[in-house]
Amino acid sequence: MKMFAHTWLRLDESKNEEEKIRILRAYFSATTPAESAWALGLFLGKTPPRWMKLSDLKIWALETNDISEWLLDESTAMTGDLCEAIALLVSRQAEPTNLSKEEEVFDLIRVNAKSSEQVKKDIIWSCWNFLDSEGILVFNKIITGGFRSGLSIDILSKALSGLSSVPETVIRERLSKSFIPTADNYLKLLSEVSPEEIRCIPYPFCKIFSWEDSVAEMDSKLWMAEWKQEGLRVQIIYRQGQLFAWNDHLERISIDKLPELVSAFFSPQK
Amino acid sequence: MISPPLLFSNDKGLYCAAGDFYIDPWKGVDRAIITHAHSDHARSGSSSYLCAEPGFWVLKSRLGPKAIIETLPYGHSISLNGVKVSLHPAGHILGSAQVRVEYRGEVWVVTGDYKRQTDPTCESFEPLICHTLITESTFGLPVYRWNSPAEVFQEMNDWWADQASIGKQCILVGYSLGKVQRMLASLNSEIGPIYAHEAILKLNAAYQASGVLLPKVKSFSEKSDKPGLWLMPPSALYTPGLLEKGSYSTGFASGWMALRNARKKNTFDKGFTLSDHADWKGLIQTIQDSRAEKVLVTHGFKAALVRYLNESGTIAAELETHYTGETTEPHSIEEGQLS
Repeated sequence: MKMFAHTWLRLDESKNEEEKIRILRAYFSATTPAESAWALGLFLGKTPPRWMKLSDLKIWALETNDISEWLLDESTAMTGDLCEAIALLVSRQAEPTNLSKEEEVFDLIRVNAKSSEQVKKDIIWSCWNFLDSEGILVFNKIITGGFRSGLSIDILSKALSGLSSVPETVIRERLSKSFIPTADNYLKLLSEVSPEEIRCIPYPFCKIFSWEDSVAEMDSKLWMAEWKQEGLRVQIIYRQGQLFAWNDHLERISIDKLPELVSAFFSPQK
Repeated sequence: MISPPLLFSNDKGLYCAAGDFYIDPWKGVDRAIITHAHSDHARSGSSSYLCAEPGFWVLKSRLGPKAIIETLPYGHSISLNGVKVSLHPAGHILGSAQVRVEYRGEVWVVTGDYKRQTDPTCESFEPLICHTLITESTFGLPVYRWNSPAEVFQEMNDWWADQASIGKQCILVGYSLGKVQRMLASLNSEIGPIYAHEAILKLNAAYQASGVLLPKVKSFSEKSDKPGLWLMPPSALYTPGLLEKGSYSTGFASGWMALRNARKKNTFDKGFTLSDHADWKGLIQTIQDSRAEKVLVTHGFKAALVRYLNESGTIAAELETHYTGETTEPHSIEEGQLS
């Protein structure tokens, strides 16, 4: 969790996509498949169900930490985030205990929302004692349902494809299906591309660029002009008797959503 | 008749009527005792200045050649109209001092700006016992807590090495007086060449004249293709034509970078939490060490610190001054006096 928290904060702070991809690759390269799976799940927004109310977390922080409520409120006004203010006030920056693996904290977070209050408090207490302030911030956000990764499937696919021979589009395709964060599923995500998957790899999508100069100066070998139409730009490929479609972010679109196009231009039965 | 407090704030600065001197005045006065050379504490226009001995060259570079500056070694005392005055290390920047004022058995200490962390470019803070303590509170909220300097500099060197490995230059921004020299002393110059803005080079020279060892740095005109680290004051960040767009990464070193929203809000690629001020724990520790019966709090989160102290059983009150401490926005930092 410490490494995850540090990584998430670096991603959060970074304003550059290339840098975010480097940070993600460094994290996934340094962690076990189980840890990577958990992290990926969180990055994809698959957070465990909330099991602590933020207002209760505040009360619990005040009860256990000899802090005046007004001082916590002043601190929250400065951080703009109660989870962060609590993290900074309760963190003891203690030496690491044996609870050091990323996945152990991830497992603790996954407590049943129906567990007794004492069980929940014990978990919070041990995590607050063990984690540094960055870890506590992320832990507080996850258990109160406020964690947002701010990462798109696009950026995660780019990062993960760099760690294996799997093309970015295939990773994106695999991620767009349900990803349950287990070590096996993480390894499957990076496993060899199947012939079935090869069939549905799209071509790179030509983005639209504006051309300021005269058309005569355009090298026709390098450019292709097309009328600008309103609506969605899609790429449709007919391979081995099957139709596939992608939007211009190379996200797969269900063919069922494009009935007019399909009937106008293709006959899948051919 | 009730006598006035030994030190009080008037329209010119923090005044000692018994000794007829000011500490860090914000207007020109006859005798000014200066805690340190940052521009919100050391202003031009006074007839004479007194500072700690190690701070002479730095203060001279700030106030100009015509300023009359006397010095006093740390721990030595002088008598000003029967008031005993001595200067003691504050650990803020080179030559920074706490001012200890003693008159008829009553002792006051003005901390000026200070930090409790170690800094190879200046003497460490010396705890002093007094009846009344006047302390700063720039970071007077418990969310401000510093990691060890070793951790911060490791992070800084790692960032530089990492960016250099992908061919990027690093621009590192911080106060040109104190912060930059502290960073310089801890940056790993084996990673690549270090360049510094002219304003920084001038202050480096003042540090070196005072006997502080700093690694060799190059001026901007000596730039080569090898990825290096560029030290800049905040005002010089957008020097036109210096580096090609996209070829560099920027970092900002400040205590304000401790909070996530501050790191996200600024335009820098990387924020380093490094301050030459005390964090919350450092402030509380200093107040406890002083055993002061009364604490007066100047610039920063005054109200919060005063309320906390009063609730904890220490008599405390706010004291109005014109000091600003470490400013929040990098672009609002005054660098005009460097010319």
